[in-house]
Amino acid sequence: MFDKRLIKNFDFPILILIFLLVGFGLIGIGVAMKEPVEGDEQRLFDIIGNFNLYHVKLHLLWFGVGLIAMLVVISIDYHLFAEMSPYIYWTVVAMLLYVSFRGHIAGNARSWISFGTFYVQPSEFAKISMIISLAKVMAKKKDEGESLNRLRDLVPLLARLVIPLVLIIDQPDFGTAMVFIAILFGMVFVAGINYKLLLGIIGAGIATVPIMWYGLLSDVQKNRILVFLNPGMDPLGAGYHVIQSIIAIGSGRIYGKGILTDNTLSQLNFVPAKNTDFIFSVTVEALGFIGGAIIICLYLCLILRTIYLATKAKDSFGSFLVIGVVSMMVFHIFENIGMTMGLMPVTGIPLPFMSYGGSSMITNMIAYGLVLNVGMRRQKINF
Amino acid sequence: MALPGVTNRKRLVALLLGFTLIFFALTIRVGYIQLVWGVDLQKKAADQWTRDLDVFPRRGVIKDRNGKVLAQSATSESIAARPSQISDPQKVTSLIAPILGLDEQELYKKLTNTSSTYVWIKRQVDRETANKIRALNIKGLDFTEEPKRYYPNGSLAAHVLGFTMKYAEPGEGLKGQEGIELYYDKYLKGFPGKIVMETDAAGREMPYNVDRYIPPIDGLNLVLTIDQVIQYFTEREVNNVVAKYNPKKVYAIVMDPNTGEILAMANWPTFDPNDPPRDVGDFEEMQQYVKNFACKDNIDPGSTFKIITAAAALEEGVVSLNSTFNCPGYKMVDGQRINCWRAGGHGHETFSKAVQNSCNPVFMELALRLGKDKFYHYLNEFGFGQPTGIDVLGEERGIIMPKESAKNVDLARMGFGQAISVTPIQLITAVSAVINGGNLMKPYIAKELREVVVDENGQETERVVKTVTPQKVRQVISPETSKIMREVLESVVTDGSGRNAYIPGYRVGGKTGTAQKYGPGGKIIPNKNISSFIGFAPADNPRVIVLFMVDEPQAPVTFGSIIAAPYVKNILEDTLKYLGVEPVFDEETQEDMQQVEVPDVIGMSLEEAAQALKEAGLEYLADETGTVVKDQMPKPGAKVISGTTVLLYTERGAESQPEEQAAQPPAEGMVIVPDVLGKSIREANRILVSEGLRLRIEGSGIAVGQDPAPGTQVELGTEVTVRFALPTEGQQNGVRRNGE
Repeated sequence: MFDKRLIKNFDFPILILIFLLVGFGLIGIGVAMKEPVEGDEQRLFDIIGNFNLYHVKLHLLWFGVGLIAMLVVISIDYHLFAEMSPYIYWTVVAMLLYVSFRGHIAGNARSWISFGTFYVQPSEFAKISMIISLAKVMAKKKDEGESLNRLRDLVPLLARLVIPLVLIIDQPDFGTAMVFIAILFGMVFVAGINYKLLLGIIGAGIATVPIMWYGLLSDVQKNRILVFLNPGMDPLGAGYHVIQSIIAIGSGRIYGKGILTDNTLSQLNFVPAKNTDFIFSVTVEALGFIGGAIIICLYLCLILRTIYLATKAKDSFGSFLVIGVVSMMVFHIFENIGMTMGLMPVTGIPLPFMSYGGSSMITNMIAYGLVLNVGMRRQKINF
Repeated sequence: MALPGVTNRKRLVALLLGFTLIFFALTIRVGYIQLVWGVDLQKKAADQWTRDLDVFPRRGVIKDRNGKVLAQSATSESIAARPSQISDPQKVTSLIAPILGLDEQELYKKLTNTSSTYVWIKRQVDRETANKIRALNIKGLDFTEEPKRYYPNGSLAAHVLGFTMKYAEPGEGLKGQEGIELYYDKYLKGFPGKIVMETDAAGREMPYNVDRYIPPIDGLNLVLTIDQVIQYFTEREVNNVVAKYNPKKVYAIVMDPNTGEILAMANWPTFDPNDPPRDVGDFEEMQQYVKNFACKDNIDPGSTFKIITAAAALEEGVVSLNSTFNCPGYKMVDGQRINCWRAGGHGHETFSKAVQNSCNPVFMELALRLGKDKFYHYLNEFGFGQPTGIDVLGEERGIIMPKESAKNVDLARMGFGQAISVTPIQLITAVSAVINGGNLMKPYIAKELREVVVDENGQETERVVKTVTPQKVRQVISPETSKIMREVLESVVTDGSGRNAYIPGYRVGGKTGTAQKYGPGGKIIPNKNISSFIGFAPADNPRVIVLFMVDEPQAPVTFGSIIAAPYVKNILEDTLKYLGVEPVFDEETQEDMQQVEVPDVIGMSLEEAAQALKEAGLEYLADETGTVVKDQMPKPGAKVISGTTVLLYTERGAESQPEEQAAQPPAEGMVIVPDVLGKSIREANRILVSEGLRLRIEGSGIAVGQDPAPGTQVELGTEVTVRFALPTEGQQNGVRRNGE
């Protein structure tokens, strides 16, 4: 039944890194949701009283749920997911379709399914489903010795990508759509795609920019991209958030303002979506460059360790699963942290493990459940 | 083992390197923003907030030691326009220009300048005018509340208080620019609040809405050591000396010698902090009018400095009260002849007599006896050449020649107050140490910081946040030496050069000073002196010390005893009475102060009355209503000390006015409230006290209103509230005084 070697091969460093990142997330959410205070003479008791721990507790709750989900995922041999992938895929597509018509709108996008007071974002789970489906196709190609040198070699992959992608762009959730592209790129790159073909696709992508610009992107998204190219263009409108975020980060200086400091820019609501998309700005305003460097370093360690597990996988499917997850992670991290610092356009994609939000947390825990699953079953088990 | 193929391994390494690079890029970006941009970004923050509306805090109130308001904040309305929203600039111009008293052409230019989004039309207009404009209901005009600083007493204590900027700074509020307003700015100014707007200027929808009101935090109230009444006494005497001698500058400080509390501090020329001389030029030029000279000017102390030399010499035992000296009118120091101020000299004299005579050669001798080391030791101990630490920004430290280069000649000169520069505040602080038992106190102006607390009922109360207590810097001389110095300085007033500061019934100590002024090249400028007097009382237990320095008085004789001492006397006398220090007449003074009977002068002409009173050895003070004495105070037949001032109430002689209120004699235990309108605080106090009433002062200057009204019958001991306002030119001579 449950083999001891499974536990022996369980990758604790990854779990520890996740715990540390969630810890930083809790600090960030705590600081972000602190009430602004008046006056400057405060006793310790008052300061603690000003912490609004509601979201901190919920974040912990989602982490707990995520741990259970992770446990469930690792207890099932990951090959079962390959067999289940069509069912998972179509379930997610159904959810996305439901969202398209009956979804809950927040922040200009129809992305949520409402369950009473909680909202579920199917596009989050769609990412997992996509990783599994693509990994399955890739592994099959790999095992059958097919190369990735021609455009038509990519057709089966694109076929699986297109339906969810269109539905998500339609929401519109350009950020998540980009995650899908990133996952695909990560996988085909490792699979050994011909560089000419890769460059060709990128070139074609750039060529379709005008089409996307006039066809697919909403005015808000266009505006965000324009502002990304030049934040000073509209300092009071869309560029406001990026500039405020950069100001908040910059005002943290080397050691940060500390967790107990009152009335930081973040608390005064100058930083937008402070406990979700812009959690990094808030955390780094409080913890300074030292905190920021530690957080980035933790993410790097997590990514490197995950890639290491990819090389240890016992089969191509496992390897591609891990590569899919790592591609998703890197895109999330770079896009999210990048946008808080004006390196990337503003999209609503969260920072894994740190941003407040149940769907995101559970998705990431399931994704890492898959990674650990592959890691645990790295050796052939003989019964 | 289905290990990934070779390609995959290479690709994985490439991916790994790529990802590492991405994370490096992120780290570098964070570092760049936080470590390189950090400072700039703070400034940028302020720029970003311009879309937020400032909510200005209330700047703290400055009060005198008794809670009388010296500076307060009010709000005024300012009118601005958004030119792009003004549809008919021509019409708007013709409508509002006359109401606001603006030039039509200029206003039209402002309103049509659509390149600016927001222009001030007029700032700080009164509410009535603002309401008139508001009633016109013009689209594109904007009304904002702006804080404004108001000094109810006009120029009173102007140099101490300083002033604030005229207009509030965005995101800051009113900032202090000079004086106490500047020194305690961080406590007074408070923290502005904000209204964060929901949409941007264009009304465009924003992805994340922010909408919040951050309330401002009001500034702390500040209580000073200054006493408004004593400050008024002091400024009145400064005005008097200016009117009489037209000097270049006057410095006056009143201090509690035991604590270092500044009770009053005044300079001439002065200004009105409600309208400081901003148009004289740049900041430097403005400083010439607004800086607190008494703490920021280095001037030659002259003979008042002899107090320091004497105290040091006594403390070191190089002289005693019984020491005798001979003054031939000069002294030779290292072959150089330095004269006494009195040609021919003072001959044989004791130490006390030498101080009374202010004899220069004796103090040269004392300085030489002390020697350079000891002398410089005491200069340092008394605080010369170093700031006193008073709460005035940019205090000067005086000028002392370096010890190494000081020759005997210089030492001798310093002994009597030449060849050294001090600030007035240094001098009064050092002399306080001489007379208060030897303690050098740190002078201070701010006494208490108070927070305004609003309780549940909406009542505002004050809570003390910080109290400044007297601070002893060091013990300079022994209490015994101090006691001897007090007696010696009292003898200067009773028997020496300070006679003009003598106040009957009070023991006054003091010292005159007349410093010569040096032109370029170190030459003495003839007829340009600094005349000064430093006085304190009561001499046995000093409560008040007054320093009064008159720079370049226009007078043939410029001795401090003539130019400064009488004014110090007036300040001391009024202050002591105001502080409730009762005059004491011991047997010795009693002999001088024989009792006389007040003659009946009612019905006499003013001239006859003056003559009669003079014969009886009395002084008088009359109002200017008429020429015939209608009533007098004290009443005829009263026994008073000779020299007492009799108040005369007059009426026009020709028209025999019908007797009004006086027809009804007051009932038992009741008095009729006298008319004090047009009187100074001091006179009003005398009049009311002589009737058995008490004075409650509101404002300062000349009485402009009183409650109860004159002629009302009230019980003895009733408090009469009198409102005073600063006199304008015409009113100043409303009361004639003799004896001056």
